[in-house]
Amino acid sequence: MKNEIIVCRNVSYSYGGKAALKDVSFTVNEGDYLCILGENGSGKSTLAKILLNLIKPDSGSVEYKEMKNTEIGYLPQTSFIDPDFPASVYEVILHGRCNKLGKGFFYSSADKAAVDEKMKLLDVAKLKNKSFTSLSGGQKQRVLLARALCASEKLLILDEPVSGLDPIVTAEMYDVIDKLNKDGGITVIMISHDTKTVAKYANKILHLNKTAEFFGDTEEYEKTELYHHFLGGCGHEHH
Amino acid sequence: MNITEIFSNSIILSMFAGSLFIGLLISVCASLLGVTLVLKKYSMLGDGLAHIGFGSMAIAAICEKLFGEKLGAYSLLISVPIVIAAAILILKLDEKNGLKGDSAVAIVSTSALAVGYVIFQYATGNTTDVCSSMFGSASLLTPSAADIVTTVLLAASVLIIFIFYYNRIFAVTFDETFSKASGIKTDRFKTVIAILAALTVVMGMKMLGAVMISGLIVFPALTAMRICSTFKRVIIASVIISSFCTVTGILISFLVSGMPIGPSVVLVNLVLYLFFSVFRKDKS
Repeated sequence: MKNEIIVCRNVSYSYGGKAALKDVSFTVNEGDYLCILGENGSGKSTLAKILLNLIKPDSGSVEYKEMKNTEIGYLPQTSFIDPDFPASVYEVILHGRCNKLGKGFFYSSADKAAVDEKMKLLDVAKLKNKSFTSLSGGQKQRVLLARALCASEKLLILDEPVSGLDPIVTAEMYDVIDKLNKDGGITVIMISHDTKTVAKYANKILHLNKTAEFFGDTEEYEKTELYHHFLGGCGHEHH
Repeated sequence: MNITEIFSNSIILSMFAGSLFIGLLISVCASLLGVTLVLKKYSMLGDGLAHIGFGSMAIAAICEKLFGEKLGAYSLLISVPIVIAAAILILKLDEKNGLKGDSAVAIVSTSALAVGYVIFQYATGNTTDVCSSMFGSASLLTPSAADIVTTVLLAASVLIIFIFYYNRIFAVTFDETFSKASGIKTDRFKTVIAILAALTVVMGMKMLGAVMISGLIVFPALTAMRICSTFKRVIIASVIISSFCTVTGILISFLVSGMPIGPSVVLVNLVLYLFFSVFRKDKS
């Protein structure tokens, strides 16, 4: 049995009296690939905010074990970033190391070496001096993933990492994430509504509808009514 | 007045050099900070702080009356805590109440304007003070030793803090959510940004005028963003553009009689901004 790194107990959260999450419990082990599924308004993004320490749950607790709750590499939806922000690819990835500055002020050669390494790993080294704004959607996601890896080699939280990408780039992106998890041993938590694809990669599923309707292994999930219902529903919605 | 006259008169020359020195310090600080404020959508913060600066200048004017010229010369420093407090207040209002940033600023800044005007009217009874506090000194004055000391002190603090926190300021400006999730104390550095903005505004109030200073914060950054596409280059370009505009603006107000410095500098900035908006970089 692998080490638990996140234990989430009975987490609830509400916005002005309207419940967004009710009594959600789950655990994440080292090396897990957990996918948080659910429709819009199911509390996925609220849970993500709680995991990222952006908001505190009304009740319940999130405990990070064997890692600090700040050692998180976060991949936001690209749309969260100002499309006109002047920044080079290098500047974007480098600030992933900002949490390693400690009491210092300037990046060390170790920081710069880490950036070079992550750029190679994600195949964005040749974009180094390009303007972030000028990149394609897929390139932007790779750059942001490199930044997330600079911030943490333990845990990645990915918020809809393929939204807005075309099918080929989407498949590439899933492969990259899968490699990081399987070969790199990094724990992945992915928020998605792409039930079908996700089942191929994730080893655990948390299905949210304000409460946790399912939490467990992917094989178990595929046997549930929930899975088939959700697949059918999604298929109609998106195609 | 023509150029030969200026450069043959040592009093005028020292006046010119003094204004230029102070002007350059102000414009470097304003342009550094401007990039962050514009990108973080805090442009209104500079504007709001300027109005609060006006209110604080009214209080400084009273102090000058009460304590005499000598101590009063440093009265600008009274504005520092007031404007810093206001900057932090605006940030908090913006976060907590879910008030849109601009309405938070509007509430605080118009109140400060009103209070400032009332103080000027009743305490000093002098409306020229109001005009010069808003739009800057109408003509060039030889900066006093106190002015130079105050400006150097403020500029040094802004520059040092900015350079040392440059990497964190970038992180908070580019992506606050990511930075917070990866353990950066984003609230602390947002406060740092607000304090730096406050110091810059205070620095520029006397010479350029409370209302004009926000132009100095916003224009160089916007112009620089038209010609550069990385953060560091935008910052450097912004400093160069701002310095150029300030030197040109001061020169114009020197040569054209009755041209106040603040508006002159802002107008040069406007011309440059329009120029680069038309002949902007090739996007590809």
